Amino acid sequence: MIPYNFAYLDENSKRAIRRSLLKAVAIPGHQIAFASREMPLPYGWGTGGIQITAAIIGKDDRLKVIDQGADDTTNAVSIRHFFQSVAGIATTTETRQASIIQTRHRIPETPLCADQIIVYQVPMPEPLFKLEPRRTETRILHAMADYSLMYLQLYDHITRYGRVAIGYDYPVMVHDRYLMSPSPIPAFDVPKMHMNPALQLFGAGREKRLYAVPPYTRVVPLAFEDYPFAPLQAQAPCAICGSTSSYKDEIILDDNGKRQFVCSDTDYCGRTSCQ
Amino acid sequence: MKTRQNQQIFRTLLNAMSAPGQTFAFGTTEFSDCLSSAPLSPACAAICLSLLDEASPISLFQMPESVASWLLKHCRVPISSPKQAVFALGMGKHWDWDQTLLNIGSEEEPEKGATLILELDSLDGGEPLQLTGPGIASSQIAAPRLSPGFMTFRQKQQGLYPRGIDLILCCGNECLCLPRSISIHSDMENKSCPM
Repeated sequence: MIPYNFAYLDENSKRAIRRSLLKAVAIPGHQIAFASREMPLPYGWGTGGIQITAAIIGKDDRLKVIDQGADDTTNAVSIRHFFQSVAGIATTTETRQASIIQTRHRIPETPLCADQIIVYQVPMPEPLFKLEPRRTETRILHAMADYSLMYLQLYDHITRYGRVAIGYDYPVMVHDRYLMSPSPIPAFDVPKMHMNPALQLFGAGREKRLYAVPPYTRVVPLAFEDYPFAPLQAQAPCAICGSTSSYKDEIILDDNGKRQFVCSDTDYCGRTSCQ
Repeated sequence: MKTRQNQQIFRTLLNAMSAPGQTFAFGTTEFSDCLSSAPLSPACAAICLSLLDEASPISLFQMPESVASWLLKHCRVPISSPKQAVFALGMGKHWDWDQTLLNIGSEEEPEKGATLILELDSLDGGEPLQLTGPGIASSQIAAPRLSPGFMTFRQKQQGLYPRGIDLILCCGNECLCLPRSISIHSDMENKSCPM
């Protein structure tokens, strides 16, 4: 047995995160500072998500970890292995089987259920960061719900590019109050957040912030009436399973620029191609 | 196995906070040794044991003297004035103390608003309340036996969102949460003026 406390973190650290998580659920979309601990892997590899998973996970849970939709990439494999060794919990790659899904940059294609929790790894929790880098200022903007800067950026995009050219980390309004970063998920995934029956938790380890979207909460992407939210989608079906509805990765095949599209969600793709 | 109990209690509480108005039961049989000595309901004692420590001062309202000593012994939690308290513990049937003493947080840090844990005689059979908002698919009816002053207090709070306090109601081994984000209307109001 590995001489660590269950799920790596000590009980005091878990309690502090748990108290913050309850407040985060009570104030949907509001970023809460937490005492982010040093984890046995560097910032940028999901330390925020891991700490939240460590605070909520129990012996009866079944954990799924995905990185860009895939269960078999380095980040996903190592985090899954981490929790297997420090918590001895069961893991899975099937979305339906999982009680906790930790994710980097995707929401599974399979719709989530009410008894599931999805934990997002967040690199930059502040949606206004690129427009106003000072945290002292952005917290005032959040306090006053003044999001004109972000609307101005969308307008700027429309005048320059003819559309809102934000492909990932698309800004959303949560419960009609807080502007929130959905983490760098593709804009394609943003509608899945709206009124989702699963609890959604977000952790940013380096930035030491966490936030939450409770089940059945309004999550609305920012847009204008005459320029509605219109995420881009790959034109071709998946080269493996033929799905036309899923989100695709573009793969360059040779030096002549030949390319193909495959599902980014490996679990979904595997099950669809079996059918 | 304290670690496991803490986790199970927290998960139940997290589920309850994510589904306002629904009643959730704690599996509290496992740590009967600690709970049997508690001058609180099993649910309330379980929440205190799993959430409180020296970093989360608590304020007590109209609680017997034994509660303070039990909390100090088992949670090592400092008893503080209402303004400094992160948690508050009170009796749901009395609403004659001044809740405005509690910290509701600021516009910039609304999360500093306190969590009020109330001991109730019953989580149903009271005046029906209609709840809507985050965590509720369409609407949810809850009828915890709260004293009449609650709705007046709550209506004042609703206008202050995102500032406010979050409620955890306890009875026996069950709890029911009323976070600040939801809207609460008394069911009677709706019947008198159908919209």
